[in-house]
Amino acid sequence: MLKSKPIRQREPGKNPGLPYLLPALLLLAWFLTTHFQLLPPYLLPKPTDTLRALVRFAAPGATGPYGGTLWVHLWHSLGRVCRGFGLAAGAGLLLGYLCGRRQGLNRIISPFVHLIRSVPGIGWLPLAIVWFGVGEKNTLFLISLASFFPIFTNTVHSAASVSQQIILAGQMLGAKKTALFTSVILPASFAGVAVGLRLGLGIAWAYLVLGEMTGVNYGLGAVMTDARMLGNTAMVIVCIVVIAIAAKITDSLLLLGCRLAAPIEQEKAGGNS
Amino acid sequence: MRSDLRQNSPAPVSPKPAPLIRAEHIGKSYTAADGNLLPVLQDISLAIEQNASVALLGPSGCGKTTLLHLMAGFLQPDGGQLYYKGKPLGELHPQTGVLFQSPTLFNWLTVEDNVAFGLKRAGLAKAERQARCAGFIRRVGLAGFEKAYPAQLSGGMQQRAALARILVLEPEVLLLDEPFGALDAMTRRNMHKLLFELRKDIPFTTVFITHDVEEAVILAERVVVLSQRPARIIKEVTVPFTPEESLDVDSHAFADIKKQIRTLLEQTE
Ligand SMILES: Nc1ncnc2c1ncn2[C@@H]1O[C@H](COP(=O)(O)OP(=O)(O)OP(=O)(O)O)[C@@H](O)[C@H]1O
Ligand SMILES: [Mg+2]
Repeated sequence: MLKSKPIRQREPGKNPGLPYLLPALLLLAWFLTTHFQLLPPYLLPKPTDTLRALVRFAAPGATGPYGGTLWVHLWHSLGRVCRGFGLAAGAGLLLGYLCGRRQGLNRIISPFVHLIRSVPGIGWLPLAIVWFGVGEKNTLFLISLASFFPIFTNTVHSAASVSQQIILAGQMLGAKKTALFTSVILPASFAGVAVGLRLGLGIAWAYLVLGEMTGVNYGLGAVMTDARMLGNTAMVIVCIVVIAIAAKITDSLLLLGCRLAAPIEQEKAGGNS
Repeated sequence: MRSDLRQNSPAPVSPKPAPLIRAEHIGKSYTAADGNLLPVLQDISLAIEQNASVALLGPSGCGKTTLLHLMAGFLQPDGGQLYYKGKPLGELHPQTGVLFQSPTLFNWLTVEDNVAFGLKRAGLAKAERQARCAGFIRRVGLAGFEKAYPAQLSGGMQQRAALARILVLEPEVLLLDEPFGALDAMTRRNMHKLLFELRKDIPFTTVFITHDVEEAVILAERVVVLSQRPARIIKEVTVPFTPEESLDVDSHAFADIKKQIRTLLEQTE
């Protein structure tokens, strides 16, 4: 066979470094701003000081403010996110599939859900505090309420968009009732549902911080509030970074889980590029 | 040889075998978006013998798919009655396979798993499933593509896989809804040949929809010409060719039949 050189087009937007461009610029700006002391340290601490605070926070047994306490706080926060997200996913998937496949039920439930959704999440905070007090339950309530909506809406939409012909094909091949749901409707709608789950998980982290700031003993949000009151801006930034990383990791894990459950998504993503 | 997947009791012995599918004065209407009743089928009476090959030919939107779905048991007629082996057609019966107008392979499954889907639902063990599927995948010319996903196949290959997925269940009736409409001429001709070969090996009854007169004459022994909506049967034309002859689309006899049917169709407009 003739061996020709593969034509390598310069594909714009395919450079693997692109996603890191903006963070790198931001870091540079941060470095320069503090180096030339354009802002006082209580507004913007030095990147090196912040890094030192992070190391102290993470290193087990470290002394000094917040020394070595990262893991216990992270553990509590992660637990809350998982519980809140788990509740939201359970309710969102169940109701979503029911509404997506049952037009009558959808007409009863969806308008009401959309009505509630129009209240911004923070608007629930005062009521949540009245109902559940500050702390644990209130945080769980906020997380699960906020992450319920994208999961529910995406599930309803994806379940309703499974084409009638695909369902007929499944029935024709002998899939009835539960088998039809698990072997046809579920996988056919899975891609859209996964999008909803990812959105929901992202929102869970956002509302975690909101809930924890109202007062819990352990949790990244609690550290943030505490550090802010003590004027320890470096620690506030450290917490933001830790939350970003943790959220990114849980998102990747969720994505991985989805891909294991539905390998075709991977294939498609690979095939289209 | 019929498989153990079939559960129906043997038909009662009679001097002349009853047609496999019989439609008697079928009528069907839909409720249109504006709430009005849309009559689609009007007084359709039709008999399809065992192992026959019948084409339904009619103008676009006249109700062909509706008629096919009635035969498959996906829909119930408003009036009239459908019979399957002399008995009123009840719920979806497993002896029918439908090849749909647009590809309906499950895009989350490989070709192999798509073909095995029905056998799995029927509760066959994995080894047995694999053995049967491999045979049919080879038969439709997809050997080597067992692990491919539908998105990685061409349109013709997808319809081949869909065909294998149905045939592996050994249906008595194959209902085809313009399955080759989206394929190019060459691929379509290959599909026609494939159908001929398959029917030689495993006899099954075919009812298929097309709006291509040539395709109807090639594949069918009988062409049922339908009118504009609401569809009535205008005429049934018998095609006097053997399968080999009907692949010879350039012969005079072929052209004559085509012309006859085309004239009928033009009268519907
Ligand atoms: N579920 C439905 N509800 C309301 N109207 C419908 C429905 N299904 C089909 N129709 C209408 O019934 C008529 C016949 O539809 P059908 O799909 O049977 O036609 P067809 O002959 O298969 O058309 P085509 O050649 O385009 O495939 C069309 O006018 C269509 O709009
Ligand atoms: Mg149609």
